[in-house]
Amino acid sequence: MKHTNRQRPARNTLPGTLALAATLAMSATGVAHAAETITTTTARARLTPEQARGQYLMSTSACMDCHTPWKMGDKGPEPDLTRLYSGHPEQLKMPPAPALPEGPWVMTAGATNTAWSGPWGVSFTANLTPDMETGLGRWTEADFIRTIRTGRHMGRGREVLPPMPIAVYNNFTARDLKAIFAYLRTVPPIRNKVPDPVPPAPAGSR
Amino acid sequence: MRAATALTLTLVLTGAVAAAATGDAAGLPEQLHDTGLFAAGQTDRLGEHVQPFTPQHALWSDAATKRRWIRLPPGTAVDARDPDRWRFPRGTKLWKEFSHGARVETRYIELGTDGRWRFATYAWSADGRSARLVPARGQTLAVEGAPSGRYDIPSRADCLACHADARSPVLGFGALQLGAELPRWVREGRVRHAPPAWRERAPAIAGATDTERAARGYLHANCGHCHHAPGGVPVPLTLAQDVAGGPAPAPAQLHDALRRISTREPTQQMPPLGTRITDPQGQALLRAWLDDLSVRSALNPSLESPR
Repeated sequence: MKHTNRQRPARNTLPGTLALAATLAMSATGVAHAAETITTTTARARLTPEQARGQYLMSTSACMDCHTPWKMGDKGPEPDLTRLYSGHPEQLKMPPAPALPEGPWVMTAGATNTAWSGPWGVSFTANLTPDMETGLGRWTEADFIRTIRTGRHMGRGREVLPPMPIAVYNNFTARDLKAIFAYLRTVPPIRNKVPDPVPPAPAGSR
Repeated sequence: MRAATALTLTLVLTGAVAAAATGDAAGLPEQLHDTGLFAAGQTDRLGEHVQPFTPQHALWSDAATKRRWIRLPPGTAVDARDPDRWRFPRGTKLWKEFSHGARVETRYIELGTDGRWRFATYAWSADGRSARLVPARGQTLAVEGAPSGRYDIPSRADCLACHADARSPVLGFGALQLGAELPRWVREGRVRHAPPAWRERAPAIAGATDTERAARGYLHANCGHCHHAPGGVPVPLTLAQDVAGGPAPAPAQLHDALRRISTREPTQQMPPLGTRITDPQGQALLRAWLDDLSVRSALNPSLESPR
């Protein structure tokens, strides 16, 4: 289904170094677009009340904006729903991020909105679909909740990197997070191995 | 500048979650002395019923010197019915002390009367006379002798990252870890429902050679608290060892494990927290095991992964 929201993402200014603010600012333009698209695409069909609530929470919390790659459509950038929640496309090999001069600009993002470069290196948004090998297929609900609660990958591993607004999502209640995970289980699994994060270049090498 | 900004961002994005993920530490003493580790007024003489123990396969902690103690309430015992998931009596207390020349930190866990594990850690004063409860978000100290002079005291969320999902929240006091110390605990009745054979000899980690057993033990101690099955992290890699034995990781998995323990790049390093420098002995062990496997494979190409 075609999108009805034809608004192009507005240019953002990044206040200070807050990746979180950057994400929310980006989301402000894209979330209405995304929310409408999701609800019409899946037609809210065959979802349990809990799954529907999870879908609602994801569509109003900007999850789509980074975890579904954007493509250029007839009317401008739009989420590629054939890759719903599958994260940074495996086939899209990103060239080195542009080096920014010293100053207030600290982040750059790829056109898909799934690759981000900043002082932490380069991060790629995760595949949230239930694919067993490349997505959350092996994850338990507890793994998911613990990830949000601790800010660590799988709840025990490396830190989840910017721009994922973990601190914001940690305001979700346990019921919210259970609903989100229940909804994610209904999303079609997509095999897409997201690359590992790239560490920042050593000081003085750029 | 970049590193500093990255740190700022990390703090922004993780600092706010620490409190919610730390578990309930309410009621834990402000001073280490009040946990019962030491006799009243002492900093070396142990408290009543506190006993030392030493796991035979150590967790790498950046070359810190470590000591460990356990206190089981009098008249109670550990239940070893499930040999890989010991159950501890309520009121159990454990401590682990970290030193770099001088004492830096003592970590503490206790199983409350409500059946909930609590985690805390105490930082030693410069004069070594007392240790105070560290805030839930953890702390980084300047410590002479520690790598780069920096020492990270874990947050309580970090405590949970390793302990909460392990097969037992107690990682170093188990059938495969106590080794030669185990029979005494069984004979004294402090570990019950154990196989009779344990009264004389502890179970050994599986392996065809000493190198393999040592390498498996290293992986068990350093990786097994997350990489265990069933449960554990949602990746198809099991490194925890069972009393009954079990399959060894495939060589490709071992190569990947070696790569991950050989880096301290934050998004790649393993373990993912609790260490700033790599463990040369651990790396040497895995390399030696891989060398053995390649030799065996060359001699017998049909050889399967050892069990």
